[in-house]
Amino acid sequence: MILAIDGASTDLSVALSRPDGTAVAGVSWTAAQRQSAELLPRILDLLASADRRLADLTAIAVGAGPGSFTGLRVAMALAKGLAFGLDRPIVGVPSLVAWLEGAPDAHAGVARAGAREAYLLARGADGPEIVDRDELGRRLAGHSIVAPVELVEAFALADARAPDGGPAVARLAAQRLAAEPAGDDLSRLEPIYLRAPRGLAAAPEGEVKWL
Amino acid sequence: MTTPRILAIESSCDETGVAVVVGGRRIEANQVASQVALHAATGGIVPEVAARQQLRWIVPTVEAALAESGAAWSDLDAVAVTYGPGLIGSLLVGVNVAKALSVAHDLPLVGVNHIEGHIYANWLTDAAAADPLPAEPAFPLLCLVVSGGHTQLVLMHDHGRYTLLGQTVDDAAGEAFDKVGRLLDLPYPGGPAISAAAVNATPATRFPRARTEGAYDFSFSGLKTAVLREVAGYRDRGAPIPVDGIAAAFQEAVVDALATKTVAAARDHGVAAVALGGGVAANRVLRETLAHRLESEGLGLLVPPPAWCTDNGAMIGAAAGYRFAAGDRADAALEAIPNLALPWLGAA
Ligand SMILES: [Zn+2]
Repeated sequence: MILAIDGASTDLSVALSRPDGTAVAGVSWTAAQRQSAELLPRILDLLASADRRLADLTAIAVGAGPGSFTGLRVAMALAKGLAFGLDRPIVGVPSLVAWLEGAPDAHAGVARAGAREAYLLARGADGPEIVDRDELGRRLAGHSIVAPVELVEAFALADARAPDGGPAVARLAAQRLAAEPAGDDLSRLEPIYLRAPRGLAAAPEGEVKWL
Repeated sequence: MTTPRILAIESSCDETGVAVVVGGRRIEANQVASQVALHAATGGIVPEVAARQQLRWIVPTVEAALAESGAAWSDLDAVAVTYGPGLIGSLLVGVNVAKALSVAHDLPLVGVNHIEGHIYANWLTDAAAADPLPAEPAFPLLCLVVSGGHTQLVLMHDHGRYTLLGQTVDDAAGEAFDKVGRLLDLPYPGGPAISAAAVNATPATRFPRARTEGAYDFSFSGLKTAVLREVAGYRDRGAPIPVDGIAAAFQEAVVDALATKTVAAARDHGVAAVALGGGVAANRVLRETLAHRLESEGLGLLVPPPAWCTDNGAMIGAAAGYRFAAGDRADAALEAIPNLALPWLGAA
């Protein structure tokens, strides 16, 4: 049983699938700013309602963004803790790829990137880009998209549906695990941030010092 | 269960700390991954950088602590974690990893206040300490918690029972050290750099001591401005800046303010002893000045070794030992609370 968690926006999604990626159960909801309080209880509820236990999990899959830094931190910290605690492989899956995989007729996936910008992944594009609000409106006119509820309201986006990344994160992780059973490096797996910390040209690199 | 063995996680700022502590006192493992070198480039902590590094280093630090202690999961009785106060992005990492580990191993979860951790560093002993362990600090205990993020005078009546006597009304003491370090072109972090510059230096001036409304409150922003003015004066005259002498004068003013109010509070409240905590407690002049002035009051000063004064997991494990014994339990909905306060009792 694969547990998939997507926290790249305030619309959270959790899913359980068979090891081959076939969906078993899932839940998605709008958590506003309470991702840290709501995510783990919902995971435990989902397991209970599917009559499964944490010990039944064979792998942990997590949406890696880009998107809400807070949501990604919560989701990835939980995923890392579960993978380490249960001694199971972890797999990071780009969230916007999963959003599009879960909505075959949508043209683009859009996540928030600060007050006036968004991460945009157009179907068929090589990767996500950062686009400001005005350009986003022009690029998306006449297309259906996947975007979080709060962003659709804030940026007055049309023809949008809320993301439900869990099932597709599980499916894409199952494909990865079939080819690479060990999954990702648990310590090094990080969200796709795409932008440097505010005020810096680049995120500083380097080892920590062990005291 | 009188001696719970607790895995404790601290991630409230820029250190990733994980420890294994038995009975709230004996350290079996204490691993700290410090980002200080990364933040030196920016001359201070950038919260988003700190949060990213926490997520990068949390699993290796848990692994290292478990390896150091030799404990298996089945040997552990609880998982404890700092849930505030601190930087929200950093706190979220430790809180969520701790919650996941607690459900994965069906262990109780204990949420710990970071300030309470700094206080309980005074209960810690190392793994080699012989039984019976050294006596515990006596109550009522006056605690001065000084670091880059906090400056508080806390009267501890008993385990878990605190009155806030005073705190900084502007900058934390450690923050003032960092800011003045930058003014003097000293490397980050400012505390150790200023201390090193001030060794053997004669104070170049006498900076004014701040008046505060509360008898035991502190204020350091005026002092910072006074240093700025002093440095600007030398620049305007084209004279070389006596960095060491200004560092000594600044350190003297900070230490005097901390020691004067701490001694006054100790006298006014008839405490049994005074305890230090927080990164600034590693400052040698503060330790010596405070110990000397308390001695003439017939009071002892408790100071943990420097490694237990800066942020670490062991201090969280110490506080968690007493929280656990008192029956405190958190659950899967535990949130990170950046401005978390201790449950203060009324005015003493
Ligand atoms: Zn601290």
